[in-house]
Amino acid sequence: MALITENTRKEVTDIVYNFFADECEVDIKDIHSDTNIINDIDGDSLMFLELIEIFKKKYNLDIELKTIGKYSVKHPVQTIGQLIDMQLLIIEHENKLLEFDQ
Amino acid sequence: MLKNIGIIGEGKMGTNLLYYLLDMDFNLTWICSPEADLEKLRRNFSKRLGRSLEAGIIDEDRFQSILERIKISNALEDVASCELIIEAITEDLEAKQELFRLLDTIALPGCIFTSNSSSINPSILVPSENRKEKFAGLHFFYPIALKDIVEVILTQETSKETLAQITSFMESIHRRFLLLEEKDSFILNRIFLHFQNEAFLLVNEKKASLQQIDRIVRERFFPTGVFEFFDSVGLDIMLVSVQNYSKDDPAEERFHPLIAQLQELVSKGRLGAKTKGGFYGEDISVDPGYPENDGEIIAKLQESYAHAFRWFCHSSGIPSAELKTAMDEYFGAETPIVI
Repeated sequence: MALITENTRKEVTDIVYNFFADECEVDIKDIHSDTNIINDIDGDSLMFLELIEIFKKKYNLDIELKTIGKYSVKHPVQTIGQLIDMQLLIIEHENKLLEFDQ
Repeated sequence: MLKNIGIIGEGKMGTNLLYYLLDMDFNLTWICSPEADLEKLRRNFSKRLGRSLEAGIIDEDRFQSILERIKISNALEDVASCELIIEAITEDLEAKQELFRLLDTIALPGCIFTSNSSSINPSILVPSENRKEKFAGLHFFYPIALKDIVEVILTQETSKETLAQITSFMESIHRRFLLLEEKDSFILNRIFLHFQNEAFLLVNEKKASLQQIDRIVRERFFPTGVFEFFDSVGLDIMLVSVQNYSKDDPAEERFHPLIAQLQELVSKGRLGAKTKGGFYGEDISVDPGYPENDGEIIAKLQESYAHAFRWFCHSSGIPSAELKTAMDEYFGAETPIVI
């Protein structure tokens, strides 16, 4: 179980903001914590999956997509802020994400 | 072993198929519609690949090999060397039929044609006698990486050789699959549809509010409420699907009220989440429902789900454990056990 520091949060936030600015072709200044990924910047769940792959590699995470799928069915992500929180939980708990949720 | 794959359609499923298959070693030809902004699609593809390289998900060799193995085009002729074509265009019968007629004149004689349609049986799409043995449905679920289930739908004419090639393809892409005859096609959606229809009838007959139904469904059955699901998929898409699924159903008349309601909402431009109003909308206040009759509602929904599940198990010959696993994959969560 990884310790989430302020530095980790900032790093994850930067990656997520830059990712959506690039992929959705919007100014990074227009992305905020409460930006709705689908309605406001035309994002989709494939982008979410790609981000997971990026974080898996970056933090060497032991997490199966299926685990994230099951978690996100119960906790659907709509905003950038929710997405960052979920990524931090994934980094923190990896494959024990569902155990943490119980 | 199939190596050259054509994917047709730049919508959600077509794009998802491309990115999913990219991780394997196929030569991929992605055909987008003439109206598509090809430059933008190519740019997005390059950006994504570049990000994977930058993040260390792929190395330089892999990056180069992917670039060599993919062609993005809007010229249908570019599928001329494909051994398998997966059609994933919009759910429009005439458009699909026209596409397969054109493909018939372009593709290799031995090329396998498949459709990712979620509601149109493959036999209706076969363009000529020459293709009838080489045609099947391949119904993937979105997002493919998370949904480890595909419905393989065989026509009466699909040959054993074609089936063997499709089976081998499914194994090579690491997806489990259900083999279905057309009478049982789209079985997962249809089992859920019976449940959805029962839920709608309870609301229509004023025995429950839609908020109450969705709350009960989330608490006791599936991860998403029935009406939330409708709004999320889009009522225009649901309307076509319900019409297609119900027309050969022995209980076809039971779907009429739902179809009528969907028609009315669609005619008012209420298409669901994409128009910010469907079954739910800003003009609908949140109704707490009638919690005192939860037990009755739960019992009716349970009965409806169990009945549909057993019916399709019996009809398709798929063992109940296998069908339950497929339903779990379809929902991405544990679904109720039917004994």
